Amino acid sequence: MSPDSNLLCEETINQAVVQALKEIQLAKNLEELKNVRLNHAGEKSPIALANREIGSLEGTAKADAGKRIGEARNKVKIALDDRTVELQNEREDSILIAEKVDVTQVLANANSSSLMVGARHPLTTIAEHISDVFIAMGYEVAEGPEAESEWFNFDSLNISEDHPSRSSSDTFYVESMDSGVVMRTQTSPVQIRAMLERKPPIYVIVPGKVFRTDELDATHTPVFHQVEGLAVDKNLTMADLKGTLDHLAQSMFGSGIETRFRPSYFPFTEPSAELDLKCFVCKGETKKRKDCKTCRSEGWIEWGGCGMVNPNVLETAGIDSSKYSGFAFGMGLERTLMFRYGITDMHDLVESDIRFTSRFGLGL
Amino acid sequence: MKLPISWINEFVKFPKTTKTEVIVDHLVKLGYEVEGVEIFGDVQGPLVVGKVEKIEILNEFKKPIRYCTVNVGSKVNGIICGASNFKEGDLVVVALPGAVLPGDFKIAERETYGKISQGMICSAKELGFSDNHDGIIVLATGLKLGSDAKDLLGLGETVLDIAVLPDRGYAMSVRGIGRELSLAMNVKYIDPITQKIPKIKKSTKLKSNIKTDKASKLAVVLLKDYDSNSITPMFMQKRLAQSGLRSISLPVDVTNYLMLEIGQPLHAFDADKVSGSVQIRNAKQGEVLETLDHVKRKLGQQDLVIADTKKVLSVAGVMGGLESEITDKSTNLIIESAVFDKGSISRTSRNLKLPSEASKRFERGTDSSVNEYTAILAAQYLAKYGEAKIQGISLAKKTIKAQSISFNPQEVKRLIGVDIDVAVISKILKSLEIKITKSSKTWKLQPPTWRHDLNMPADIVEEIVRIWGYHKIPSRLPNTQIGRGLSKSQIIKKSISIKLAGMGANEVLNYPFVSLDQIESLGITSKDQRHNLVRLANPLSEDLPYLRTSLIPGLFEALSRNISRGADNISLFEQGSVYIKSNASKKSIKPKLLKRPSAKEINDLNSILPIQPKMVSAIFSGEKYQSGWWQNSQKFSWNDPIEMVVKICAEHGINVNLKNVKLAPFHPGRCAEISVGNTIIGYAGEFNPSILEKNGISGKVYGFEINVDVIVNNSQDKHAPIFSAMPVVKEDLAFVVSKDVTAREMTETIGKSAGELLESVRLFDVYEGSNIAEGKKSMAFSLRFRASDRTLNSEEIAKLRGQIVSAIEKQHQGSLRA
Repeated sequence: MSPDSNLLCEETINQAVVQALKEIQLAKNLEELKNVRLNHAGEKSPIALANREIGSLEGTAKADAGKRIGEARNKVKIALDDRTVELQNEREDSILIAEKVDVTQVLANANSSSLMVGARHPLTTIAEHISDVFIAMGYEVAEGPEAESEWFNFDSLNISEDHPSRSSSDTFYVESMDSGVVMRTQTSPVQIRAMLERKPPIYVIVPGKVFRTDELDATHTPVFHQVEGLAVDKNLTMADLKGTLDHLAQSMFGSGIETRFRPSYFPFTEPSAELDLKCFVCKGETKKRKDCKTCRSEGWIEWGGCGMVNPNVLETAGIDSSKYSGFAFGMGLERTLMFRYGITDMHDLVESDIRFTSRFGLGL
Repeated sequence: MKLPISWINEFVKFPKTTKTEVIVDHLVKLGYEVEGVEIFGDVQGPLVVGKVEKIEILNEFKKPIRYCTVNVGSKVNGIICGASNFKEGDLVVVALPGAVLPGDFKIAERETYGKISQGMICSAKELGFSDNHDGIIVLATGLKLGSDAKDLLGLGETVLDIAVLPDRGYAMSVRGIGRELSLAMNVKYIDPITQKIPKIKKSTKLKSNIKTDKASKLAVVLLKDYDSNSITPMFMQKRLAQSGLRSISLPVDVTNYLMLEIGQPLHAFDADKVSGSVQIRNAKQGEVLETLDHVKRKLGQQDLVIADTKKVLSVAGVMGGLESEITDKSTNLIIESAVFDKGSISRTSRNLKLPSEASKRFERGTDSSVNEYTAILAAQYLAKYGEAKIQGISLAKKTIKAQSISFNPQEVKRLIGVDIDVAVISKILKSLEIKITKSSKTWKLQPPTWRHDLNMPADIVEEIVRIWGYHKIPSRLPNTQIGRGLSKSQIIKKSISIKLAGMGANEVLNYPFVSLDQIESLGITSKDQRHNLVRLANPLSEDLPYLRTSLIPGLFEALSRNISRGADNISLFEQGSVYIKSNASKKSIKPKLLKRPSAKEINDLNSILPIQPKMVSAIFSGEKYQSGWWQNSQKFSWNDPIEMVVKICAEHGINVNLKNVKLAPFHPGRCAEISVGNTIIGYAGEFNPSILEKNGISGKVYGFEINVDVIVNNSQDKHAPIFSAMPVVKEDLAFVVSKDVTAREMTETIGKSAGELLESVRLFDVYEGSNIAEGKKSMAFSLRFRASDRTLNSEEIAKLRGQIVSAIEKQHQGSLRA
């Protein structure tokens, strides 16, 4: 055997592999690993040198040596690759760790971050919420003009010429007291418009702006919002009205809310009722009720007016009141919103202060 | 309406021990809100009946002071008193040491005016039940000395403040509320008008007549020799005080007392000031009457008056005249009691801005059958407590047709959804004193004379259910039709609102009231349609009498308010109506009720309305992105609002045109008119800094105002895009062109010359200055080419570039920038 054949002996090759694997593991960074790669997988590495000697062998010896060297090379290559990935990851981690931020900075800057998000007025979104509840029941959203003819706002709704609500101390008249045009005092004229535009069965919900000559104070505003509902169909009764309003109350205030009907008077409904909600603060409990500011110790909160559409109103809208019946209801959105979100002063709803609106975001 | 429970209890026989909450609960269920429960006259400690045995007058002080010896039953007390309206032997109310009067006024034995005073002789004012009676209360004789005076004076009794619905005039009395309560409580009820009254002969001296169709009954009673020193009996004073009415004089107190008890307002005149017959007539146009409150009232033909042959005595049903008022010298009296048309009284009281206890009852409708009875009862009281001699009565009346209602009991089920037994229905109607004549299916119903609110079957249904119990109405959901959700226009409005809020703006809802100054301070001149202001006839403030024609004034105001409250970088938007005066000067019409108005009538009703477009407007101020540890700041710029409008429109399928225009309140060089076809959508850009300054706003503000209706009408259905997966080829080209060539012209030329392989064009730089000739500018475009079926090769791109460059050279005399 020539001395060079020692290079090919099993022991020498095993030693070379062990040495290579040891140095690979000891390499602390990619630069050191580069040197290790040169020494143990380069052209002058013991395994490469041994490989050159294979040509001098023959027969089975040649095949055995070839196999041995192939396996050795493979072991070293795998170890090198693994270590490379390890060291690469280590290096990346250290860079990213250096890029660490203080995430609490964002909270310390929450009101002026680069992501400016606006808000919709909660009156808009509560009107949408209520409309959604009714759309789910098959209603359509109906609309009408805010400067409205006196006939739609009063006469057609069975409100007599002498009715106090027509006085200039309640109603804004447009141009002159006898122009026949008012700023609508209620969303109810849309009831008539809806009936004139459609044929029964009619199911409409009407959110909208209304106007009355009240000075702005903690509970009044000359411009406010109502939501009105109207249903005209065969066989509609006050029980259907009660069920519909119970459903609305639960959608707005949670399923535990209790309601009651109380006799009332509106020219455009007969029979008429007032819908009260059991006070959600004191729950009407005798002890708590005494000091309850939400319901002023009454245990109940007046929420809205309602009733069966007055037959005169149906007839004026061209609907046969002996064949069809209808119910209608209406409530103030400001009041509803104030109950729901604990708003105590009407000024907040009308003063356009962005600190108020931005609290509510894009939807309720 | 305030009423003590004890008064109601006189006619409604519920046990005295009945809890107030129970009564309140019954009233609420019947439809009467109880707005207050008060304890009348909050007096603690000993308050007793005493007899003034001796009065010693002490004259050494500024005014005469009385030192009285008062027998209070168990002992005799010395009491100092400053009043002088009582004499020896009178029975008085004595607050003994230890008593506490309203206002935490503690009574103790004390030395005053050189005497020991052991208590106080009380006036009505001191006991808190009258604010104008300074005089000592002198009690009727025959009371036990030392007995508790609190019961006697009704102190400590419960008073209910009951709200009566506007259609239920009959309930504005002890009589009316009592009847209702007796039904709910199922206890015996005594109608107050069944008290015994004397027969009065027809007056020979006093005549009466009705000269209007707005009144149906009049009763006048003449009384002589009334003792004007008479004192109103204590029971009456007490109940008036409890009901919140001042005691004035016996005749006035009697009329008020009976109004509260029976519901019929009365008026008492000084008969010596009345000449000739008493009549109800319409006022003559411009006729003037000085009313009791010393105001001269100018009346019109629509107002009813009570008059004598020569002059007006009172505004009928509203307020008496000063001249014929009862004074402390009046000895001859006339009691007047009438039935008026409710609408007429309502109108007069409203026109004169003069709501009174009488008008409140008349405008809701009074019982047409009790005016004579009540007048006689009043005369009887004046005879009994005021020594007056009844001379005679004069009656005038017009016949009123009683309307009956045809009623099918099935209506209850049809409207309420509940089967109430016919026997129960019948019982309830009878209990309401509605007369029933039953035939086969329908009943003929005759409501009592006090029920002006019962005119049709639905009214009757309400009554039945009210007594049966509103709280028993079941709750169920109707089988509604299947709906289609929001309309297209509603969806568009909602999406615009969400988009603007998502882009950082805060929605506001401003009042629509503006001044002419506000509009003109925006630079809007009379040629502009936004100058066609709609005026309110009765604005809340004469400073803001008009309706907005633009949302911008409100937004400027909201911006200023937020700035003054310390906010910065403010973006606001509003969506809402504006109101433009229509040029058509049409007369208002009133279509007949109870039938559908014709298409022409509906059109006429709409044609008198102002034009009310739905607008959306937004304003942006300060920084879009603020600077800080994260980045440098970025301010809003003139292009932002324009781009927002372009995006809003694009979302609804509208490709807009932009054009430089001059329009207030925008910067004359930085305002875009945004249009689709020939229709203007709105305007956007930078606001004119001098206009902002006039509105108290400093710094730059940008914004837009667009017509949502136009967007809705021009919106196009969206189609899903077809896009190619082939690679894109990007190419940047810069051209030097004359300064007056617009970006739009350039992109159009590029688009046309490049054809369909051009996917998009973006202007990424505009430059003027060194290296660029005077009067020229450089515009740099980033182009993207893509084919749908292949990868474009460099020859194709070179050809396209060549086409574009030559088109720009030809059409805009531009050159490719080296």
